[in-house]
Amino acid sequence: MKDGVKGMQPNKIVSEQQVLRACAELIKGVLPANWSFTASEALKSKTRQYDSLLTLTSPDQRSVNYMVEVKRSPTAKSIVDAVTQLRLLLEGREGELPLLAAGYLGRRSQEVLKELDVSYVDTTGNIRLTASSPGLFVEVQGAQKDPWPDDQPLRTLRGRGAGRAVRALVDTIPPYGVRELSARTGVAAPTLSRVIDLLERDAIVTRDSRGGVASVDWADALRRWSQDYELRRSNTVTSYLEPRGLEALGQRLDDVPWRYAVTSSLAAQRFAPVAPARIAVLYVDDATSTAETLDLRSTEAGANVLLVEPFDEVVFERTVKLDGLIVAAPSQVAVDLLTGPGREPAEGEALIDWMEKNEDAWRS
Amino acid sequence: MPGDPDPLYVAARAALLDTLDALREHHDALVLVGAQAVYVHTGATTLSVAEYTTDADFCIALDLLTDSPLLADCLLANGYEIGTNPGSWISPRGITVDLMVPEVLAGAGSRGARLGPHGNRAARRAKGLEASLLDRQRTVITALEPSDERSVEIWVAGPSALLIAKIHKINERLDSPDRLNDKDALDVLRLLQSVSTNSLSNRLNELRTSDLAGDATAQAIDVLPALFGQSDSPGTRMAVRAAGEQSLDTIIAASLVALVEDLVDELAI
Repeated sequence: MKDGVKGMQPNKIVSEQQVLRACAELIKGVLPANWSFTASEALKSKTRQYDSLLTLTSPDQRSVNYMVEVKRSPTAKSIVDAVTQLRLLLEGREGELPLLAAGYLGRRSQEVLKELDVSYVDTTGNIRLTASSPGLFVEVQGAQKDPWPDDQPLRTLRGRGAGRAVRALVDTIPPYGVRELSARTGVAAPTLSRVIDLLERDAIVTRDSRGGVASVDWADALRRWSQDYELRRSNTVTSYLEPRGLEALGQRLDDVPWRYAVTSSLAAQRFAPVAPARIAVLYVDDATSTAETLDLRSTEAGANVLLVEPFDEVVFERTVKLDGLIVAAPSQVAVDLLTGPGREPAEGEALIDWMEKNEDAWRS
Repeated sequence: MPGDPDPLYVAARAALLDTLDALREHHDALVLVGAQAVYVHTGATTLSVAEYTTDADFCIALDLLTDSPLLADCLLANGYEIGTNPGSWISPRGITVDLMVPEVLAGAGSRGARLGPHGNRAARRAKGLEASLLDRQRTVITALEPSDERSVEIWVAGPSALLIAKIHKINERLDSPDRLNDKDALDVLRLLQSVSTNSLSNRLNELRTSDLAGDATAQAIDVLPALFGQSDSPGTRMAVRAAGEQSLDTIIAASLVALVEDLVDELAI
C-alpha cells in the first residue's frame, strides 16, 4: 500500500462535477509510472446514464475502462444501489469495470465496495483500483473521518433530539454558548448546533460574533417546531375513557407515586383563559399500567383521556404542580396544542400570548 | 373560574330557601327531590346547566304532614301562586315549586294527591318517588351567595332514590319525547359519576326488598339496560341532547353506557 496522499482541501463539495474532477486528479496522481489517463467529462444525459468513463492505459497500450458513478455523500445503502445500477449498465459491455467516486467514503462504505469488488475513489484520497487485464492494483488511504459531517443540513425538527434542543432553546434565556446550553440542559452539543443552524436559517435564532446564541424568538421557534412535530404522531398515544369525568380523574391523580405531566387544554386552562378541557392528555411512562391504576377503560369512541408515552423524557422537565395537577412546561403544552385538533391550535396561540406576558413565570 | 357554581344554581338555591321559609312548619314532612337534590350530591360539574334545573321539587311524607297550617295557606301567604297543574306553585321570583306524593300513597284520583284537609290540589301524585321516603338524609342547605346567610336542615333524597325517580320519569315519557325531559337523563349521568357504583348498588338492593319502594326499585333496575345500554339507546340519546355540546357527544354516551353497565353488573351479583 502506498502512503496516504493529500486529498482535496476540506472545503465543502457542492456538485458531483467537482467530486468527479477532484477524484480524476487523485487517480492521475497514484497511477504507476508510464500509465496514462483520459476521462470523458460528460455527466448524465438522456442517453447516457452513468457519470463518466475513465480510461487507464498501461505502458503496453492495453486499457482498463471504468464506468463511473459519482455520489456526493453516499451511505453504504446508497452505494449498494449505485453499484447495482452500474452493473446493469455494464451488462454486455466487455472490458469495462465499475468505479464509484464520492466526496467521502466512510470505512463501512469502503468495506462494502471491497466486498462487491468495485473500485472506488473519494476526494480525501481513499482510493482502491483493481483490474486483472491489464493487471492493476492501487490502494491508498485518505481521511479516516468525514471532514464534512454536517454536509447534510438539518431540514426537520421531527426527531427526538431536535425536540429536546428546541425545548432547551425556548426555555432558556439567551445569551449562551452552545456548550454552556448543552451543560445546562443535557442536550448534546452537536444536536443543539444543528437545530440552531436550522432556526438561524429560518431567522428565528440570531448568533453573536463568537457563534453563541444571542437571541431566540421562542414563540416562532415553537411554531416552527409544530410544523414537524405532532403530539398524536410523534408520541405513542392510547385512548381511554374515564366515565366519571375529568374532575374524578384529577382527584385520583393527586399524590400518585409515579410521574406524569398533564398537557394540552387541561394544562393550558391553568395558565391562560381557555375553555374547560374535554379531554385530558397525560404524559406517562407506561400507558397500560397507568390505565390500570386509574381504572380507565380502553375505548375507541368517546375517549376523554389520552395517555401519551412521550418522544423524550424532556416532557417531564420543568413541570409544575397547579391546583393539584402536575402540568408540563408551558412550552411543551403550547406545541402540543398547536398540533392538536379542533380549537386546540387557537388555544396554543392563547397560551403563547400568556407566555409572552408572563415570561418570568416559565423561562429562566 | 372552574369550581364556582353556575349563577343559575345560585338563583335556584335562593328560591329553594324562599320556599323552605314559606313551608317552615312542614319541614319534617318534606323531602327535597329533583334537580336541586341531585346538585346537593353532585356539586358543580362541567356538564352544562339548563334553565329548568331551577325548579324546586319536594316529595311529601304523608305520615309526617300535620293538618295545619295548610300547605296552600303557607304558600299563598308568601306570594306563591297556584300553577296550572295540581301541586305546581309559582314563586314570586318565578321559580316553579312542585309538591308531590308517591303514587302508591296518593289515594284515588288521577292527578291531584288526596291530602285530607290540605285538599286535592296542593300536591300531585307521581310515580317512582317512594324510595325517597326511605333513602334520604338530613342535610344542611345553605345559600350559595356569600351575602345570603340562610341555612336550613331538611331531608334530601339519597342518590339511589333520585336515580329511581329519574328512571321512572324518563321511562314514562319515552313515547312523548320532549327536550324538557332530556335533562333527567343527564342527571342520571351526574349521579352515576358522583357516587360509587358500590354504594349505589348496596342501597338499591336494600330498597328492592322494601315494602314501600320494592316494586318501583325493581322496575327501575329492569329498564336500565333498555334506556342506557347502548350509545344509541333512548336514555343515552336524551343525555347527549341535554348536554348540547357536539364535541362531548361520544364521551357522554360512552360514559353513561359504561357506568350503567357497571351498576347493572354489580346489581346482578
